[in-house]
This record gives sequence, C-alpha cells and structure tokens, in this order.
Amino acid sequence: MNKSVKQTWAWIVTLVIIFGTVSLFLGSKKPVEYSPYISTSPSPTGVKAFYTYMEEEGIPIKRLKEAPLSNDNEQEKLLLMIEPTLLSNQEARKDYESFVKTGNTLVIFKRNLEGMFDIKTTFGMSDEEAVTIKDQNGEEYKATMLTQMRILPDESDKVLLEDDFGAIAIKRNIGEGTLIAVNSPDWLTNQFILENDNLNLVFQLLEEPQWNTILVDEYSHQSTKKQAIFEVYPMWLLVGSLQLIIVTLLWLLYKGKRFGPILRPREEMVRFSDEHITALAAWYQKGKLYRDSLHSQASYLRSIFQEKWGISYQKDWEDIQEQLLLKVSSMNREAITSFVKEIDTVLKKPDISKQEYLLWSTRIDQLRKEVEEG
Amino acid sequence: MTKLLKSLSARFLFLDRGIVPTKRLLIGYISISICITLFTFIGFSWLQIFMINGLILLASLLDLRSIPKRSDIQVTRSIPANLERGLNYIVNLQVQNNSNLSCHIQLIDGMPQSFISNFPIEGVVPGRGTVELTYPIIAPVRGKYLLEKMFIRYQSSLGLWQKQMAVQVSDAIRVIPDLSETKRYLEDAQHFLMHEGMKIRKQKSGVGEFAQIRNYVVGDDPRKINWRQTAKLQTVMTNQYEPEHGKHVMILIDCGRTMGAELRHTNRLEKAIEASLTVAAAALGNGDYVGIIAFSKEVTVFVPPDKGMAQLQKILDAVYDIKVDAAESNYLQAMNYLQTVQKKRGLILLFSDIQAFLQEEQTLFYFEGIKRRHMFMLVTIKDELLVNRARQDPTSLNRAMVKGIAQEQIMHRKRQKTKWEKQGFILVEAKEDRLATAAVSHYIHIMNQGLL
Repeated sequence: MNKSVKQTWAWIVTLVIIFGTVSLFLGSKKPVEYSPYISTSPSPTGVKAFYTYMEEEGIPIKRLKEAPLSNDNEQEKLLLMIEPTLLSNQEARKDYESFVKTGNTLVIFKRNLEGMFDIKTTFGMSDEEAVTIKDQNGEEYKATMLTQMRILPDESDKVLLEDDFGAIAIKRNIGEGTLIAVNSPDWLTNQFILENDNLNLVFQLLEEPQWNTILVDEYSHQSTKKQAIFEVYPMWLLVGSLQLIIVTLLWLLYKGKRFGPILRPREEMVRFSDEHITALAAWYQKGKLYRDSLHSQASYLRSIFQEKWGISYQKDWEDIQEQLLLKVSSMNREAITSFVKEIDTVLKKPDISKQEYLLWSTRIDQLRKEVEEG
Repeated sequence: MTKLLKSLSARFLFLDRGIVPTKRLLIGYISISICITLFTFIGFSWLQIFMINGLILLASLLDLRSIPKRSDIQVTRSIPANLERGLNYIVNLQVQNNSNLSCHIQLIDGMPQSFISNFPIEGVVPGRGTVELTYPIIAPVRGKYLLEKMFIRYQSSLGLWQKQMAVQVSDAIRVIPDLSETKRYLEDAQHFLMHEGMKIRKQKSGVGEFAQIRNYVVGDDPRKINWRQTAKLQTVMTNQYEPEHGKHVMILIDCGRTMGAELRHTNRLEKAIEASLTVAAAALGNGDYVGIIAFSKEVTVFVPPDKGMAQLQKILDAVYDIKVDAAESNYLQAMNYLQTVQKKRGLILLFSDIQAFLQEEQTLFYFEGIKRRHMFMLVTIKDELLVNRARQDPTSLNRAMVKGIAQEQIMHRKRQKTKWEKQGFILVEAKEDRLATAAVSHYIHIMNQGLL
C-alpha cells in the first residue's frame, strides 16, 4: 500500500471518529418522554412531587404495579388512582371492587368519572381555571379546576366538596371499605400542586378515611399497552399464527431460492416489412389525401387489367367499357356501365369525402378480387 | 472493490448453493402445525410449543446426513460444438455419484436465455453409480456462446431437504445457420433443383471446356461428332463439353436495417445466409472460386475467393455470427470495397432487400460501372406482407389507406424493376422457402450459358 492511500485511510478513520462523537453528543440530548400522571414523572404533568413529598415525610407510600390482590388480608390500605384508564378487563375490575369491599379505601382522581364504579356525571361549565369550592363544613377554598364534569351523587353518597355547578368529591361506602371519587386529578400534578389551595384539599380528602399505607396505582397506567395482545386474543389463534409464520418462512425458502441461471427480462424486437407503408398510410390519413390514395388504387387496378386481361393502361375509363363487359362476370351490364361512368367523375373531382373514399375503395377492390383471385 | 464486494456478498447470500425444504416437508409441516394448534385446546404452554417446533425442525435437518456431499456429485456434459439454428439436438449429461448414498437429482443447465429447452430434468443416481440424463435443445439465435454453470438440487430418498449447488462445466458452442438446404444440395443436386430442373439442362451449345467423348445419341449436334474417333471405333462418337470451371463468384450479404424484417419463420438475413451458403456449396462443388462479403454501414466480413470444399468451412466460420445492423446499408461503400478486392471478372450475387436497394437513384448510375466489369445479380425475398396488405379488405379508413399505399409501392417496384432489367441487371425475387433453390438455379443457368 503506498503512502497516499494510507494517508487517505487515516483521514477517513479520523473523520468517522469525529463524526461519531459529534453525533453522539448531539443525538443524546433528546428529551425523555413521560406519560401524564405517572408517579415517577418529573414533567409538569407528572405527580412525582407529591410522591416524593410523602416519602420524605415518612408516610408509608408504595407504587402498585399490579391489580390489587383480592385475597390480601391486610386491611386499611389506601389505593390512590390518578387519572386511571377505564378498566376494560373484567377480572381486574373485580379485583379492584373486592379490594374495596374487604375494608380498604380507594381514592380516584379522574377528570371524567363516568363509568368508574357506577358513578354518574353531568356537565358543569366554568370559564375560569380556578373555582371556589366549599367543603362539607361550609369553608371555602380556591382550587384549580380543568374539567368540565361534575359528579351526580347518589342518595347514599356523602358530598365532600362541591362548587356552584355540582359535586366535585364524593364518598361512598362499598362493603366494609370506602370509595372517594374526585374529578380533579390536576391538584396532584407537579404543575398545579402548589397553586391555590390544591394541596390543602388533597390532604383534607386523604384525612377522611382510615389508612396505614398509601398505594399509588401504576397498573392502570401501563396495562393497556403491554399485556393486551396476550389477553385479547385466544391462545389457539396465537399459536396458529406462530405456526403460520414458521410455515411461511419455510415456504419462502422453498419458493424464493433461485435455482438456475439469472434470467434478465428482455424485449424481443421484431421488425416487419410493412413498417414504411403503415407510416406512409398514417401520413396520408392525417393529411386527408383521399384523392391521391384513390388514384393509386385505381391505377393499380388498371395495371392488373393490363397484366391479366390485356386491357390497355393508357386508355380512358370510358374506352375500356366494352372490353370490361366481355371480361367481368361478377357484375351485370348496368353495374359495369355505371361503375365506369362514376369512377371517371370521382377521379376527376378535386375533393373526395371520407365516405366516398371508403365506398370507392370497396368498389375498386371488388373488381381487383375478380382480376387477381378469379 | 466492487468485485471484492460481489464475491463477499455471494458468500454471505449462499449464491447458487444452500439448502431448501422440499414440498414434502412443507406439506408435513402444515399438517403438524394444524395438530399443534388443535392441541392448544387441551392446554399447551408456550415453552412446550416452542420446544415441539424446534425439535421437529432439528429432526428434519437430520435428513441432511443421508444426502451425499457436494463434492461427491460430478457432472459432465456432452454437447455438439456446432448447433444449427432452429434444429433439435440432444444433450447428454453424465452424473456420477461417488458416495454410498443414493439420491434424487434435479438439474438445470445454464443455457443462454434464448435457447429453448425443458428444465429441470430429473433422475435418480444410485450410490457409487452413474446415470445418464438427456434433454432436447433448440438454439434459435445464431452466435457464439459459452456454457458455464450447471445448477443441481438433490435430495435423499426420505426427501425432506434438498441441497443445492452450481458446478462449473464449461463448453463453448457455436450456433451456425441452418445448413439443411446446403446438405440437401450436396447430397443430390438434381433432386434439390427438381422444380427448376429445366434450366439446368439448357446449355449453350459449343461453349465451355471439352469434357469427354461419348457415343452419339439422337438429338446431338452433328457438328460435334468426333470423326477421328468414329473412324477408329466404327461407331459414331461425339464430343461433350461442359461449362468452364474456375470462375469467380462473389457473394454479398446485406446486413442492414431492412434485412431484419420478419418472415413467416425467421428474418430475411437468416434466409439470405442460408441461401448464400447453398450457392457457395454449389459453386465450390463446381470448381469455382467463391468469396463472401457481409456489409451494412460498412464491410464487416470479407473472405477472399478460393476454391475447394474447405472454403465452405471458412465462409461458415466467417458469417455464422453476423447480425442485423440497426443502420441503413451503404451499397456504394460495399461496391467500392468489392472493386478493390475483386479485380477479375466474376459473378456478383447480392442478397438484399429490393425496397432499400431500389430506393437510391444514384445506385443505378454507379452500378453501371460494376456491370462493365462483373456480372451482377440481385437476389431478394418476395415481400409477401406487402402483397397481403395490397389485398386486404378496405373495411376501415386506415386499412383502405394502407391498401392504397401498398398497391402504389407494388407498382413503383415493378417500374423500378423493369428499369433495372432494361439496363441488363438480373433481379431475382423468390418466396422465402425457395430463395436458396432460386439462387442456385440462376447461378447454374449463368454458368451453363457461359455468360461469364
């Protein structure tokens, strides 16, 4: 390897290294994406601030990554669900219900509570972000309100918080446990937790029931994506598709492996000896040269008259009428006479229409057939 | 660099080699898959399903152990070095198996794409045995070809997997013009020219070289009676003459654009080559000197005139791979070339297309000069397509127009032909399957008449 080639290689390697490091630095600054209301999320939509605060205060708090177990004997736990997805899975919903029934507390913060534990909602519009809320003792608080839903409490429900438009937090006894439903999860988010009286309201709500541990539910945040495929489709379908994939791979190998030489698609080119006449014909057609074409057809007819029947090419049409009458057998006397008379006028016409041209072409061809093909 | 990359990619992609499942394995696997899917109703875990699949695939791969190694299979090919265009040939393949295992073999020979054959061919090769496979082949396009690879797939008697490989079996073959007409002429000239036979017999009396003395038969010219021999033998004897030998015949083949026009079976150039080879064979057999020139835009092939049958082989070697050129043929240049190489008076046979030839007005003037030194004959194939176009029914405007033009062309051609013939040129127009016979019979006629 000579010197210049070596140098080139050295340059290439250095450039690649520089490019690699630069792109590493530039590329690594991509922000991490957090989904909202996650207890580990430091983003404005997360609830990490609340979680960390509780942890630092020494209050027992844990993350719950699975559906609560119904056979868990330990009681007086408080399960905090912040903006959970609707529980589509029947079994998981039962788990939550029995968790409450066995004497635990479930606190749900969700903007739209419709469909969660049979809670009904209504619309309550307010133009401002902060509203004045009254608690059950009549004390007033200012709080952030981003939802336009209000709870419709049952008769047995105890309204904890409400504003002018309707109930905001209710308490309901289910079995031995309690359900507290609040329609404003935003009080807990990193962005709003310190605004207005949000934090006060949250603590007031959490003081309502009896508990010794807080569990923050993360199960309902993650469940939809990861486990869906295995839970939604039946086993036989999944196994069937696996087998189908394997068979398809085998079939691809069977079909796709080339056996034989590489064939290149090619166009066979064939030339015909009538290329030039078709080209000329197209030209005549475009120029509407009907007269010229008819003349050449007529003179061809005359030339074969001369060849086969010995009728002079030079004579006029009128003069050969008598000879034609003797030779032509496919036409009667009148037809021949009119043919000879009319062809003379047509050939002398300065302009011939398309219909006339086609008609005469056919008439000339009839005679040609008799001469050439007998 | 690209070459290196190519060979690397070939290695990674298992170019021309590898293993392939058979139909049997596929069908078996489909039925097993259905069973496995049904078993899930009884209750199978994912681990079990993966294990079953893996085990079945591994077990099927054990079949590869009963297939001979790639190096144990050897193939040799025997193919004629010269194939005549469009004729049927049989190719023999010897497949030898050096292992103890018998196998079922599938073979595709790496023929050029234009060749017509029936692949793949199949056969069973017993252990330590040899098997002979044959396949028919037709080569429709003249030229020189190199056969390189032979593609093989083979499987064991159980037949779950196939091994594939490509073996290098090199053979160079030439696809030469169809010589069946030439052969027929050489076998029996009289029979070949049966329909033109009258002309052969016509001989101008009293010309040519003395050949032999034979008995007088009624009808012989009394002037040719050899009186000396008659007196000696006491029977009337007569002298017999035959046409002179050692004349020069120059064959010109036009390879220009118009010679590519399709006929019923092949194109004009093919027919021209076949006819010119037949004429060459006839002339060489007669003891004449034959040379050949092929040209389009310029002269591409030139074989100087020589005599003896070896010359036919020389001509064949020179013209077997000429192709139709996209360019218009340059007659003047070809004639110039001819005049420089052919000084002696000879018969010039030009195989060309009448349309292209007659189009140029200036050629006639130029050919006047040629005519003085040589005897010139133009051999063309009758344009049946043109005649058909002139006869078609004028059912539509376009058809009527085409018909008119075709008729005009025919008349124009006739006029031109008479003009040329008046000047003393011989123009021969023959149907495509009678081109060779027409050319040969005209040649014989000219020689018999002693016109050269």
